[in-house]
Amino acid sequence: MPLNNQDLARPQRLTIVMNTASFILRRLFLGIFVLLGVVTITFILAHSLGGNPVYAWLGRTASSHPQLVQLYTEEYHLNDPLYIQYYYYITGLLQGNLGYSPAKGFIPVSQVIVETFPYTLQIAFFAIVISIVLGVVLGVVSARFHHGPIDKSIRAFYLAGISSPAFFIALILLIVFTYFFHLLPTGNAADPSLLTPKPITYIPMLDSIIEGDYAYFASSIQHVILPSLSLALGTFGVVVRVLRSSMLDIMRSNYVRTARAKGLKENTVFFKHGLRNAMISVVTLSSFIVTWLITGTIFVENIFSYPGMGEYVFTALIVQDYPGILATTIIFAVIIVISNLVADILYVVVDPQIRLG
Amino acid sequence: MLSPDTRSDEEGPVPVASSNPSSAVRLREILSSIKADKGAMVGFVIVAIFVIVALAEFVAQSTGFLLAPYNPIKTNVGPQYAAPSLAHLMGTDNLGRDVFSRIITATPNDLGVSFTVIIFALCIGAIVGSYAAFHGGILDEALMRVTDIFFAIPALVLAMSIALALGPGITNMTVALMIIWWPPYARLARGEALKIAHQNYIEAARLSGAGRSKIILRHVLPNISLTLLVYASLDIGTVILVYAGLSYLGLGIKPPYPDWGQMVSAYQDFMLSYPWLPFFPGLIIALGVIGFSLLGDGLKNTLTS
Repeated sequence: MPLNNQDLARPQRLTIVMNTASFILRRLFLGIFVLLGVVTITFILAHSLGGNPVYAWLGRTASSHPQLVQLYTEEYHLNDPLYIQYYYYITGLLQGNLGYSPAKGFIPVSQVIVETFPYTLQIAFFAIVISIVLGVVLGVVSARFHHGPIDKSIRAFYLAGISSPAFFIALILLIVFTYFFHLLPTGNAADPSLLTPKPITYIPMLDSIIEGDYAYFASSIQHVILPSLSLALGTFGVVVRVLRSSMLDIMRSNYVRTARAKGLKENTVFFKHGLRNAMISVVTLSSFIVTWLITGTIFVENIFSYPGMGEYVFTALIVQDYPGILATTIIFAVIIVISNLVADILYVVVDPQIRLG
Repeated sequence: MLSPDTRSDEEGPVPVASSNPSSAVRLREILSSIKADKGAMVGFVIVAIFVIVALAEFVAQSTGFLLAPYNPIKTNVGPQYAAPSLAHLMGTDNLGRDVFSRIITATPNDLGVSFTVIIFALCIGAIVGSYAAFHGGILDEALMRVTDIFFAIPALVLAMSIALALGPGITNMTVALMIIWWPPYARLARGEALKIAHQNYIEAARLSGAGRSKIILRHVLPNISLTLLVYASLDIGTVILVYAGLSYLGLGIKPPYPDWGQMVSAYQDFMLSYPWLPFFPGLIIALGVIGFSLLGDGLKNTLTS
């Protein structure tokens, strides 16, 4: 620390801002590079399907519709050299052309994604909220009473959640809450007798609030609880684990000792000095949580027949809808890259001490 | 050439190659500290049971004997949909097959896939990572960017798209998982190798004229292997989970041969009337993963303290 703070404050702050800006730019550049890599991988995969990829994309339809095969061959420039195909593939992607989905009667994959993605967003939102609330509460309790019986039972609880496949948790919740206790409905995103609200934000839950359709909103909340809870039970454990260990580290640190020496109450020290700083470490988990949620929706949405993107991936896999699978792979990668970028930026913003590297 | 971000930790204790006790002593130390840790002990017991069952069943399968109480593939060895009882520990399924026998038969497949994938990732990752760390330059940069790309796609999704190219089946799934599983290991190995790159014993080896490959093989790999092994032990559970997911999606072993994940998805249709049918295979997956993560946690605590 410089002795004379005032003299050095301004240039220092300027360097910090400059560093942050160049850090964000670098991350952005890296993100674009990563996406290009992902696109290249999907391109290679699409072309390693053996022979003419059109036959793989169209499935059984190919033999009965030779004109369709020709249409595809022309549209994807399949008779041209590979690098020209690659060029058209990339430009097509940039224009939002993700191919046509055999699983959905050959409508554009981009349209399928626009229709299904908002539902997945609803599940993911509630899953994140549940896992962070549950994770922080249990993490704090765990750290406060560490090595006691409460700490141990919390560990057993999250270990079971983290170790169970998403489809297993979903099945148990479905059997218990829907069939034994008849507490919550299953199937669809809301009661099928209710009309889906007109798309304004394209997220049905938000739209229903905007339009004042509270019956739909209430029903969609009921339908979203179980799927998002099944996902959250798999992710909250990581939050507990990281929060607990970083709390324990912080409570042993010098500034906490100083705070205690000043005569502050243990609870004030714990929450004001401990928890606030420990929350920073939770930000680093966002990448893990997003990856887990994406993987989980494929199983969970299928089990609860929730019409999101995961459900689409599941059906696409069964009928071998290659354009759908490859397109969703790219979409998933975009989501992960964006969420990592946001987490990186957040991390720098909440903790200026982080070395920008 | 070393990257500029190489900084050997000045304050940490310097690991000296020659001070390593013999591996037998080491193993005894690790075992005794696992015994002291209750969680790790539970994990150890679970893992031991799974591994013994898998090995015994593998030997039985290749010699043509039957370890499981009933034939796992033959239909109607018992009544249909029998509830769990002494004769059928986990009940019987829609075709009158014994669920317990099917779970035992699947054990060598599920564990085999995870061990193969982990061992492959460990070896390739360690070599590629430490070589990149010592070579630096373009090779290092390329490795880091490739791992960035792999980190952006969820393992299950990438394995799914590779599976579409290769076709379903247990061998193809293992190959798909091998392709995507090594990058984190390479990254970890690179970091660990960079940490020790400036240690005196590496310098000494270099001064005595040892080439890069010899330094990596003789001095770097033995010193980073412990960290990698701990990471791997925690990672086995993840492979079991991802493979269970793939096999649930119908990309794993083909029926009638059983697989844990595939059993859950096949029995899911009967869950309302016979909830124990999908429950037991799911529970076995969870138990296996719990066992490996408890043991891995214990190993990590032992070796880092």
